[in-house]
Amino acid sequence: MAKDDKILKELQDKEYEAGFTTDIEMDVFPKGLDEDVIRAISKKKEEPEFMLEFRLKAFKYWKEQKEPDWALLNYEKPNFQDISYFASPKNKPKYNSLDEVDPEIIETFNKLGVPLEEQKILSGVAVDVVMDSVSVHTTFQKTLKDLGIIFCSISEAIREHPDLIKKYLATVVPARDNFYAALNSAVFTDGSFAYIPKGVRCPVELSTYFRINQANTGQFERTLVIADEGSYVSYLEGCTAPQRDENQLHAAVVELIAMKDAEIKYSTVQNWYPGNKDGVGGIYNFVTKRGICKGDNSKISWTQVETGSAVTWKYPSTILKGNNSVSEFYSVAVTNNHQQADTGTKMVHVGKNTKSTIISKGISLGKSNNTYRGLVDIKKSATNARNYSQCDSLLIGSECGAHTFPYIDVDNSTAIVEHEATTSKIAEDQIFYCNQRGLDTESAISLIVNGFAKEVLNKLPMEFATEAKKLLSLTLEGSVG
Amino acid sequence: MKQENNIKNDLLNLFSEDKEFLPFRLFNESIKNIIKEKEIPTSKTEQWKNTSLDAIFKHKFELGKKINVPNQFVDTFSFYGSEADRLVFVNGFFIEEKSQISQNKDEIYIGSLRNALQTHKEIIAENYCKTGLCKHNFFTAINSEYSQNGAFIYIPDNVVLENPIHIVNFIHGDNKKVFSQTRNLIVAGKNSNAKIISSYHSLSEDFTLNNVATEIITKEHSNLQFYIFEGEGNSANLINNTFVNQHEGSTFISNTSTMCGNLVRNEIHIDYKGEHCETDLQGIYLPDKEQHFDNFINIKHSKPNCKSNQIYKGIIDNKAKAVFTGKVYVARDAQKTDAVQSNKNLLLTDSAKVFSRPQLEIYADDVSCAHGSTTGQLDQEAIFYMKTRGISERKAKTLLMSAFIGDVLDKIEISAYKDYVKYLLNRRLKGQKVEGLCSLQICPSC
Repeated sequence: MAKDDKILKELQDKEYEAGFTTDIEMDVFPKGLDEDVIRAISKKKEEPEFMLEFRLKAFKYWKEQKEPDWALLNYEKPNFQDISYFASPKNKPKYNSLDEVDPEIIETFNKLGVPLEEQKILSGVAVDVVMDSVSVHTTFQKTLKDLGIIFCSISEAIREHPDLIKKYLATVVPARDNFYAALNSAVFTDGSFAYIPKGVRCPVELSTYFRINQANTGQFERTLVIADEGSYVSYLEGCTAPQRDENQLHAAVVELIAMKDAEIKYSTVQNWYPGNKDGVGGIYNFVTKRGICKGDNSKISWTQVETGSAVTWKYPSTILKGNNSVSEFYSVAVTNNHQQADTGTKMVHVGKNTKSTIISKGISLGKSNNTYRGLVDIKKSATNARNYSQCDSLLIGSECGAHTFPYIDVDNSTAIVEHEATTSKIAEDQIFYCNQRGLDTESAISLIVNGFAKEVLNKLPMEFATEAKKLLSLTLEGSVG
Repeated sequence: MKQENNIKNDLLNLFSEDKEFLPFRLFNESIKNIIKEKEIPTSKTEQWKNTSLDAIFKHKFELGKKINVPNQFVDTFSFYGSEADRLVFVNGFFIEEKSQISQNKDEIYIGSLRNALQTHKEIIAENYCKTGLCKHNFFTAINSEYSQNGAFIYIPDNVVLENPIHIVNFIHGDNKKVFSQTRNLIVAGKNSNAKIISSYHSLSEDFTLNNVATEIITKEHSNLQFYIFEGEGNSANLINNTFVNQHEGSTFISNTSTMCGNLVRNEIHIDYKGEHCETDLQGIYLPDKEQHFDNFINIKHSKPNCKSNQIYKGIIDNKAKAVFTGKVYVARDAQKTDAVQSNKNLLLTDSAKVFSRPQLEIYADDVSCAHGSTTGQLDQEAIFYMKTRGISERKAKTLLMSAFIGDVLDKIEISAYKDYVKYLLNRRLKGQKVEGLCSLQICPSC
């Protein structure tokens, strides 16, 4: 038992390995938020008039809203006037080759194990690097361009493709959706935009690496992915952030639109700074992610590996509007020390013969709390809808918590909805069995946890799976085995 | 907000001082403050999100009066027959002459709270308002302060009751919109064993609201079975709160059958005061037309080594709504908790609606908790199979439905009561009139 305790302690004491700060000169707005700041952001981004109107409207609505408090989270509410709403690297010339990129950026990514050039050569991943708020580097632009795929930063899209933006922005997550979506709509500075034209199968995995870099700058990313009829895209999002003591706010909005016969696969690996082992510092991650299966036979799948952030409030959802549309949600959430996660999904079935699957695995360690909160809503029109949900929680240590709050609303008698959840600790007989076969307890725990999460990890794209496994091992295996 | 205050004031005005309420403020003086603090739940109250009281409080109520009940009604609902001890209440008033108590010997007490105050004051003082019920919400608070009467059952240590006790609750509007309250207290002593049925019926078709609160204390190693039968009229509304405190090694079993009523909200709260307790909560609900049945369960595993089990099944017909919220809370040091939760729903029409919220909130690591929820319709293949064997479609459906509910009913341990519920259920599923149950005569999709 003493050995187990030691392992658990080591595990909990593990410092955040990806924590370091990059020193790049930044162009930062003073702290505070009012209409002038929003005007300034819009001006700085050289946005058309309709965007400014959109932002101001969202801001007006945001002011009327109260911060939501229904989640099982306990944190100090951020002071929205104590945040700087714009930060961009000062030297932002357009680079033609990697050599021109600030070597420190390259170094940062090298530390993270995602060297740009290696990625370019080995994995064939086009990376739209977001260093704080402005896109610095975009690769594989040409390959994509030949296929008619638009993959750029959202500010570029606003300038270059205002029609698409006007047509689709905020159609899935309206500015009035919730407190943080409204805030994001008002102040978002950058993010990614992807448009896959009719019948095109995107040959590479589109990928964005976000990093929060400047102290006291909240990051407000905006992502919009549109898959036109019959197209396919796999989109990867990964986050890591440097270690520091002040709480940082991240309120992103992600919108996915899948037209008839289109498929979007959206994968996230989130490893933002979770705060130190006493719960000081760490990122507040309040994200609104939603996709719509707009056309018939479309498909959206969400896969997420959540290991970071001090507080997570995140519910990637799908509106299954098209007939025969399908959505999947696979999630692994690991919380350690004082981390808190309230995460899950919403599946809103509107179309006929729609199907959704939810597999959620929560692992709690230390003094952390991990909550699954999900809604399955079968509307009256959703004949023959089908949902299967499974939520399993694993508790490691006696001071953590695991909670499950599924909401199941059914308004159609032909629907079949199933929900299952289990909560348990690692069974001693499993560890005993491994011990018996010559594995020490450390490797046994690691093996069991990996097996527990395998169902979800297997759903990640190849390139991402490696990183996800590495992240899991950072929180678990590194100190265990 | 202003409107809600009006509703609250209207309700509170019903209890003008000249009425004779149970003198419970002797034991607890702070309830008035709680009433002041607590608001009537709205759709913004998370725990009442899917159950709206707006339609009910559009009506103006007056307080129910003591009305005698004709013999034939009492007999209709005395489904256990003559052996059971029977307590009869109308609009929360005790009808002593219709009640029948045979087991009152030694220290056993079966009767009304008001009478018991003369003889068992100490036991009442010891247990009243000790389960958290009084402070739970607005309804439990006004019930604690302004109840006329209710049942008091005290089973002393080491007593095993052979026959069940039946608490019959009638509500009679007498052509008025009536609000009534009943307050029950049940104390099961150490090593005791008893079965109690609590049933609710309407004597008129008036629009009524019945606010019932029951506190149950099961002492060490006792075993208590508590059956709730709800068959009030089509325009009768029922808010039924049950709070249970279980002491070491005790077993509590409840079985709730909600057959009829306009809006029914059942809350069962379990809290453990000792280890090695067992709890089994079962329930069936059969809402039809525009009825709304809501079951809210909160099991607080505050002590280690306890075991709880919930199984709730419902068949939702027509435009009816069913809500199930089952919460299991496991405290930090409640190790070796075993909690299982299951909610199954059958939707018969496209307008029927179900909200299912099985919830687990767990802070201890050495536990085994699981919950499951399913919602679906009758298996077409099974119906087809039966049709090929010469069974009519309607009969096949009835068979499937009674089989679906059957396993919950089979857990009832009082055979006469079980037969009665099964009889009503089968009549109901076949679309036959159910005498006196409520005025629902046909089950349209059967």
